[in-house]
This record gives sequence, structure tokens and C-alpha cells, in this order.
Amino acid sequence: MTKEAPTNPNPLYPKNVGYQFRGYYLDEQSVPTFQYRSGTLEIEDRTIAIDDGGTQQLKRILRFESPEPQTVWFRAFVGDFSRESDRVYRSDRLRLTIPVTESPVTESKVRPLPDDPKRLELVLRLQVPQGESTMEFLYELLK
Amino acid sequence: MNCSSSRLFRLGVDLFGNSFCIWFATTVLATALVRAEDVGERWGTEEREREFYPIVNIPLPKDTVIEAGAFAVLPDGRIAVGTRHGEIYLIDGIDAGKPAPSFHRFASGLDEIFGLTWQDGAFRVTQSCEVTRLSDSNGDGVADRFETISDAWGYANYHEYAFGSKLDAAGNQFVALGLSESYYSNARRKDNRVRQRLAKSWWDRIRRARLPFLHRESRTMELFVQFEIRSTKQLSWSSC
Repeated sequence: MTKEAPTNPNPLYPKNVGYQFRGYYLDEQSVPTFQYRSGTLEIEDRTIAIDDGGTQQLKRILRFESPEPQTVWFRAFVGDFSRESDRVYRSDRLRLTIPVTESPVTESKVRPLPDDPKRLELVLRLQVPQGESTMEFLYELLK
Repeated sequence: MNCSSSRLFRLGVDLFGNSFCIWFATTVLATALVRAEDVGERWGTEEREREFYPIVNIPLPKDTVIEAGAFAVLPDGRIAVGTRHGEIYLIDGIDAGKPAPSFHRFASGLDEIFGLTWQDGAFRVTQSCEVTRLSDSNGDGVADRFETISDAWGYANYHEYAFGSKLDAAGNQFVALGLSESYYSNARRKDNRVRQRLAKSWWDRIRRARLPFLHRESRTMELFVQFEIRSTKQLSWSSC
């Protein structure tokens, strides 16, 4: 669904594969925390701005609640980007860093997008434990 | 439907046993309900309308766009208005002899509100993409929780407006869905099971019913839709 093609060809696709948007809530600074569900996995997704010595960063925090240990795949990056290390990927506008500590990432894959092979996607295999857990990503704005 | 102009939205619901009739009159006008005299002026019915109910102009604050799509009366008497731009305003003092009401923006960021009702300390909002429960959890007068009650129908493009009824005696709510485009609906898609289920019961009836009432004037377009739903169960959805 784009400005040039304003009709979503399959609006129920996420729902039909088990995804459910559940809404969001705002904190005192009106920063939203989005809530959704994927299968039995409850997810809260919040992004906050960090000014770290002149570099502009966005910290994205995913909070999971799972009734049992499970594996999910998470698409963390899309577009024309390259790999700097196992934990760092960058495009000309953005650098993604996946923190090492307590990360549930057990595998990563860079592959062409199925419907747009000229662009890449980074998908991460997450081993989510039973109960509550979190993981974080850092997105550094380069321009 | 010309969506760039304000509109007057009238919804009437009548229950006849198991038959459920909904009349929609969506009229694109130069102004919204708060300047309803324009309707009478346009139709030449202003004097007749005044015989049945008073028509009062409500001044609007500058720099606001109140393209009203839904109304609700709060327990304290304030009027809540949902707008096409996705905002909810709370209006106080609207019943004064010469109203000079105050407007307070309670929520923003929604998408074309065509259904608004108050239930258990929260709004139930029907917007294009979903039915949402809005509440103010910290009491600062601004909504901060937006809980998805249902988005079961799938939202494909802008023309698929969703019109929400008030709650019935059993607490049920009904949502009527606009066509995806003029004379076409994605309800025909095989992968849209919800819209397909609805389509089986009333899609053809809607299409037949709406055509005779669609006409165009020089600057306005009116759309009257009448349709009948035999079983209310066909419009139920599963909560997320």
C-alpha cells in the first residue's frame, strides 16, 4: 500500500497468519507503546529518542510475554544496506546495532525481499523464553 | 463521495423483531451540523425545520477543523464530537441560550470517526480501520489508551469508511462498511473472509438499494443508503 498504489491488496494478511494489533498507550511525553500479538506471544513495542553525545539514536525496546518458550523471526532492517559485523548493519542513512547482552537473537539472515529482489531484508531468529523478557535495538540516524 | 468538504451524518436505527433497518443519510455540505441552517437554506426547508426544533449556530474556535462525523453525549452533559480528521473534541456550554462553548481536544491521531459512544468511562470509537476503546487513564483530560476492540474486517483503502451504531440494549454494536470504490467492494476477494461473510447477506442488497438515491448537484453530492439486515448475528465479530 503506497501513495502510488493506495489500495492494500490483502489487508487481512497479517490477521490470517496470526498477527493481531491490540492498540497503544501514551506515556507522559506522549511516546506510544504499541501492543500486538503474534500467535501466543504478546509484544509491546516502544521507541525512544536518545541524544548520545551528538549522535541521534533511537532505542527500540521489545517486551515479550510468552506462555512457553518459542522461536519467532523478526525483520529488523529493510532496504539497501550492508553488514558491518554480526551485530551491526548500515545503510547510507541508518545504522542498526543489536546489543550483545541478554539478546535472544540466535541466528540472522540477510536475503532479498521476496517481492522486490533488489532490496534486502535482515531477519533475526529470536529464542523467546517463557514469561517476560525484553530485547533492544539501536538505530543511529546518519543523516 | 466528496471527502474534502464537511458533511452531515444522520443515522437512524429501528428494530423490528429480527429485522434491522438502518438508514444512512450522508450529505456533503459546505459546513457541518453546527451551521445546520445552511441545510435548510439549500433545501428551502429552513422555516419548516424551525417548526419542529430550534436551529442554533454554534461558534467554532479558529484554527479548528470540525468536520463532524459522530456525536456522543457524556454523562456530565458535554457533547463529544468525532471528526473526519480523527480528533475528538469535548464541547461544554453548548446548551446556553446564546452558546459560546469551550472546545477541548480529547484525542487525535484517529482515522475518520463515524461512530462515537460513551460506555463505562471510555469512548468507543468507530474509525475506518477498527473499533477502538479510548480512555484517559491518568485523568489529565487527554486520551492516553487506545485499545483495539476489533479490526476484523480489514481496511484496504480510504473509501472503506466504517460507520458505527450506538450500543443496543444488550451492549452490541453494529458497523456498516463502505464500499472499497464506487460500485465495487473488496468483499469479493476470496481472502477477505469477514467481508465475504457480510457480503453473502447484504452486499447485493446494498448495491441495488443505493443506486436510485445517488445523484449529483453542482457542488454537492448526496448519498442515501437503505439496506436491511435479516439477522444481526451476521454482523458480529470476534473480539481480539
